[in-house]
Amino acid sequence: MEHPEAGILDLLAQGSPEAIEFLYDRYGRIAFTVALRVLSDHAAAEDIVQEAFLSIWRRAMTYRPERGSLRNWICTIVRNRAIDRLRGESGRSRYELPFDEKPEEPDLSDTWTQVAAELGRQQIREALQQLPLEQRQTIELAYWSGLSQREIADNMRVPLGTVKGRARLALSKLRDVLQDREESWHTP
Amino acid sequence: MAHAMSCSEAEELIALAVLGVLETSSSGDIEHHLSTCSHCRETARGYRRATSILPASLEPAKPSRELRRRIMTEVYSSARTDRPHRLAPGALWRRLPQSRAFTVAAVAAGVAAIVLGVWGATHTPGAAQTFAVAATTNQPGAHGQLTYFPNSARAVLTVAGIDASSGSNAVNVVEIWLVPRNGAPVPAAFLTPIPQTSTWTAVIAGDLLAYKMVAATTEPVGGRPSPTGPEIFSVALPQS
Repeated sequence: MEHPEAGILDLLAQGSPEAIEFLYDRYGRIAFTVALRVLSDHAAAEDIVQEAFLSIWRRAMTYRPERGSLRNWICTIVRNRAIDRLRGESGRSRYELPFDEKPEEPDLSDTWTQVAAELGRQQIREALQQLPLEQRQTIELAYWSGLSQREIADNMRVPLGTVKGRARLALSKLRDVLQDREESWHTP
Repeated sequence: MAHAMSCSEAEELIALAVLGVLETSSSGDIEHHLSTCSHCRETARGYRRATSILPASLEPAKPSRELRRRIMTEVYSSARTDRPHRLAPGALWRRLPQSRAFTVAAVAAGVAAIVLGVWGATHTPGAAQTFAVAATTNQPGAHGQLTYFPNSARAVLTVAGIDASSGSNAVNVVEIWLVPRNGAPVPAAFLTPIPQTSTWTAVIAGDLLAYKMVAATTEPVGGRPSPTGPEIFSVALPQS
């Protein structure tokens, strides 16, 4: 079965305004939540969401459905723009892995979609709470603050290598929690 | 030149990269490693998934209705001037009551569309077509519409007034089926909720006019290859 989001991307690529309306109704609130988390300013967050959705609209002609979860794509665009706004030009000097580093296996599996949908906010928070405090703080600072890795190290008063190690351990544990959840879908 | 990196080193850089804090000076090393190491590509995939749940941990915040109007005004305005896409005015008109904050701008856009001659799109073979949702006794309150875009062979289904938790299983999904004139129903999509509007939606791919109807059943999570649960609504499709 084709993933339902693939159809919306096709509509978007064909320039259907209704596709953006549909996307905004589905993802506008999480997009605004992300922008507000980074900027802590309601008006600035709305500006970023508007910029992001118009960017999605204008870039849609070149977007490919196999690039992965649409929700994650939108959240990433919004977060990056919000951090750029927060940090100015310095926000643009960091590197992120490309979305489709493994295009032969797009991240659109029905199982994963169901796992992600099934995990409620409370369960995600519980998974984060299971992490040691310093690991959780490391990934939250990295993801939401726009600080560089060195600034995170300075902020937490630890060597840079410790920041790297904590980030790896935290994501590794979160990944394992999600994989356990995903495997449970395959267990009768 | 990129140095030979161990998987342990790579995993640390991958973690920083998916969190968006890896400095660009390290990108060559990690890209080189990922191009040759399937283990670390899988690690990157897992870390990306882990990172993707972070937004869902936040307490949801609500943007103003004005934001939706601002975005859609600009989108519809640029669609008229920049895009080859042609709006079906009938479909736009039907959407107006659902788009509460958008009404004033959409009316203006509709008038402009008529002036620009877009009205002719209703007579174009590729124009969007809309069909009504019919409730069943299992979910008598179900109502909504299916908008089909023949040029892209896609349809957007929007439904309200259903309770997907009914049935023998506490956790169900609403599975959408394409029902051919002859033969068994084909699984097409899952209905997903849009809490902001208390509606459910799905995008369906396929030449819908080759089918007799679209139907929905409640099924156990994960769906089924053929319908097993009660039918909760259907959409009759025209015979071509």
